[in-house]
Amino acid sequence: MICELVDVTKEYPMGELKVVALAGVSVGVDAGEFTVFAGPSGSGKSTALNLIGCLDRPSSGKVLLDGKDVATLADEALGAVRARRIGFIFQSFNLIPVLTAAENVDLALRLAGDTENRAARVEKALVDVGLQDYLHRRPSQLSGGQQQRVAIARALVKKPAIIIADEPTANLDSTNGEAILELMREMNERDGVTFLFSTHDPMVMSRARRVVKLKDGHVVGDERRA
Amino acid sequence: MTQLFTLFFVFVSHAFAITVDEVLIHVDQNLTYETRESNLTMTVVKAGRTKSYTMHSYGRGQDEMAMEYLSPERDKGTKMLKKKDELWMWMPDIEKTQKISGHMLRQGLMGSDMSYEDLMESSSWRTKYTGVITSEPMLDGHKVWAIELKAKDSTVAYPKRLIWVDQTSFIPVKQELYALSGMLLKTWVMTDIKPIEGKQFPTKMIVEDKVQQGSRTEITFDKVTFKVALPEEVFTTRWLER
Amino acid sequence: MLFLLSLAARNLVRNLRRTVLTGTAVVAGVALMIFGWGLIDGLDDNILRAARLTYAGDLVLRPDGYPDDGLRFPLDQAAAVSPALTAKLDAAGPWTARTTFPARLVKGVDAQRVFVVAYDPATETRVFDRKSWRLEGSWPAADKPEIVAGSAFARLMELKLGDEVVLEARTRDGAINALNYTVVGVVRTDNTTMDNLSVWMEAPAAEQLAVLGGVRTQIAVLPTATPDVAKATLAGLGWTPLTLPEECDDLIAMNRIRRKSISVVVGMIMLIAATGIANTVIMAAFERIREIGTLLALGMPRRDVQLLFLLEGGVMGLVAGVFGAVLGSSLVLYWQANGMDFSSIVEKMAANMSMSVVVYTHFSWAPTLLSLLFGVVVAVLASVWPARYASRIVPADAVRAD
Repeated sequence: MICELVDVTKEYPMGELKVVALAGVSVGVDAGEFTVFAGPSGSGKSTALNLIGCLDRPSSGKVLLDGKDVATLADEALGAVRARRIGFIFQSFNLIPVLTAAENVDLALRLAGDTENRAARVEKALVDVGLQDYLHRRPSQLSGGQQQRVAIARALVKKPAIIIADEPTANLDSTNGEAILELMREMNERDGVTFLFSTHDPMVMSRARRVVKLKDGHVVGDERRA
Repeated sequence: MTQLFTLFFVFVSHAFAITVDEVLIHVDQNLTYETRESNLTMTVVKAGRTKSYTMHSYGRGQDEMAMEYLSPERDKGTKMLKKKDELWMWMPDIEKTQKISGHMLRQGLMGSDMSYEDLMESSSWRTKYTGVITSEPMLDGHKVWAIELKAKDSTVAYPKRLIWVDQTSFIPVKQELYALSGMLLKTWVMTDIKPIEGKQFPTKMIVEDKVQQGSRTEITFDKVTFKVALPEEVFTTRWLER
Repeated sequence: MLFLLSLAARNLVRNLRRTVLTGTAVVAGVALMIFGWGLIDGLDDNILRAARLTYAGDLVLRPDGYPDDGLRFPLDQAAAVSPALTAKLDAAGPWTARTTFPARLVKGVDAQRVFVVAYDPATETRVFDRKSWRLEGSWPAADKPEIVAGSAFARLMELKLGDEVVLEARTRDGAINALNYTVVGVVRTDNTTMDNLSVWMEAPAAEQLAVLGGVRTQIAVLPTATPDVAKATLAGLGWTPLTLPEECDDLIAMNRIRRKSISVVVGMIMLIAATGIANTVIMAAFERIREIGTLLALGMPRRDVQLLFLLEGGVMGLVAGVFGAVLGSSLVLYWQANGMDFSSIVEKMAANMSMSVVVYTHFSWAPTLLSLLFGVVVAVLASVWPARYASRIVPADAVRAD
């Protein structure tokens, strides 16, 4: 198992009250999975994704990554784990606007401290997502679909343990959304890259091989398909 | 201006053959009076512009004089006190008594044609000058002695004076003041001689600057009284600051 | 670090308009600081130059006890130049003696107090080359009753070449003397006070007017040795020697006050600049919350994020500071070469300054670099708080921000 939440609780203070985002959730993701965390907003799926993505720490419970508990790591160490082991794809693409496509991808390697043969790997990552002709374009010169492809290349280039994709198609039209999903699916099948999504897009859910349903901070369903 | 302080006791004398020294002694004796009080108006004309001042003045003997400006508003309250060779001024603006000394004495009083030094030079003709009677002409219908005075040494402000002394009143009715080079600097005329308390008194003085064209100063005396009782305080610096 | 620097620079260019507007205050502050210092240093030079070229040389002597405030010139405290002093002066270098005394100049209905500067025609130009003076007309001919009027005084009295005037003065003993003179020249020297208050005549003419008996009020020396050495050899002979800086120390002290007031103005501009920079950097942080969140999510250390924003402030300060330094130095260098002519202002104010109406600014590196550094430091300090804010953003929320 690549990553696992073990009896994880996450509470947020909200004034005097505490909002319970996750209430004792245990769920694991294996290498090579193509899994969706689904549920309405407030279900806890984003929180679960944040915890697995090492963006946040649980109130209690364990977060295991590569068998190691990262729940108690300090801020800096958690950042280092993200830099090396986690790839992110965001709903709004989140490219750095002043950097070109290649520089955006390169940034991930630079932050991972992974300096070997960088230029070639950056180029290959962009070729893999079909952007060989757009290496030196700035995000503002790219379409939404192209930007998300850059984001995928950025997530992939450092060969992370898992790629966390938070509503990756929400800001794309259906054609582009489908193409992006197809691309990720292809990478999953061909290269065994592990993907973990959060979404309520039925199209994404239909492509997933496993759908974990969350509601009110609990796992209420875990469905695997062939 | 010498005579400003000196004219208030005027002897009625008779004409007779006389030496310069005797004439000057007579002029000098005119200075010895007990007390006097008067109002005076000073009009200064410079480059076509006229400024007038009114003052109230007290005098005692030869050496003491006190004066207060009544107008214009700007100078109202300014006071001046002279005792022998010393001069003080009090200005209401700065509320300070200032002793006028040294080079400051050479400046004109309120921009007039009379310097403070002119005011200070009291009754000193006999000590500072030697003179000769050059003629006895008629001047404005009065017989006068025309006298040429020459400074005894090089420190005297006016190296030469020509004076005309009325043979009846011993009033120096006209003076001409000369520079070292012989250039005429000022004329000084005393007119409008009127009997006051039985004495002949010139109620008007006209000083003209003969170097600066059109520059003249007139002083008119008004309400002159002699032998008034003056408080001792008037001639002290305390009076200035009162 | 290099990458962060490049990122910072690109971020600044991104909102160029805002960056330029913010930077303008830094440009102005740095430029003003450099120009202000250059001007004050120039004024210092100018004061010394005015004294050196018009009355003091490099060493000025006055009779012991003679007032040196330059407003009174009492003849009764003037002194003769003794043979012993003459010998020492001859040994010290070129020298000349002058007599300055008060007089009244009368032209027609107008009269004005004035100082007569009586110079020795044989030695005057050995000390004062008069090259920077502007003379209209000519200097007085020997043994003629002729004078040259200071330019501002001539304007005040409406004196023209050929005018006949009377000078009335006290002799050294105190008698009043008055003589006729012809105005043959009008001179603008390097000394506004002298131009306002002086007429010039040759010493023999002054001897006639004021019966000086050979007394003098100032001696100016251009010593071949250093002024301090010459000062030592000339002391104790009835005249008090002062070197040029000693002579001008009160005016120089006034400049020190001016320098402080310029610093206050610069300080205020820099405060405005600092506020602007802080505002710009904090705006940048607010606008880029999602971007900062992304950098953090991708694993950029918080201190690097902080550094990024400090660099943005610092780069802005450096670039604006360089512009300001170039601008300020250009002004200083331009006016160092060409001089700023204050004559029209000085004429309007009828100001009395012992200095030339033409001020040459003074460029030097130290204040230039110091101003630049100051600009950068202010910019970086102004970014500290916004940078800290940016580095404390929570990435989990920030990556989803609009």
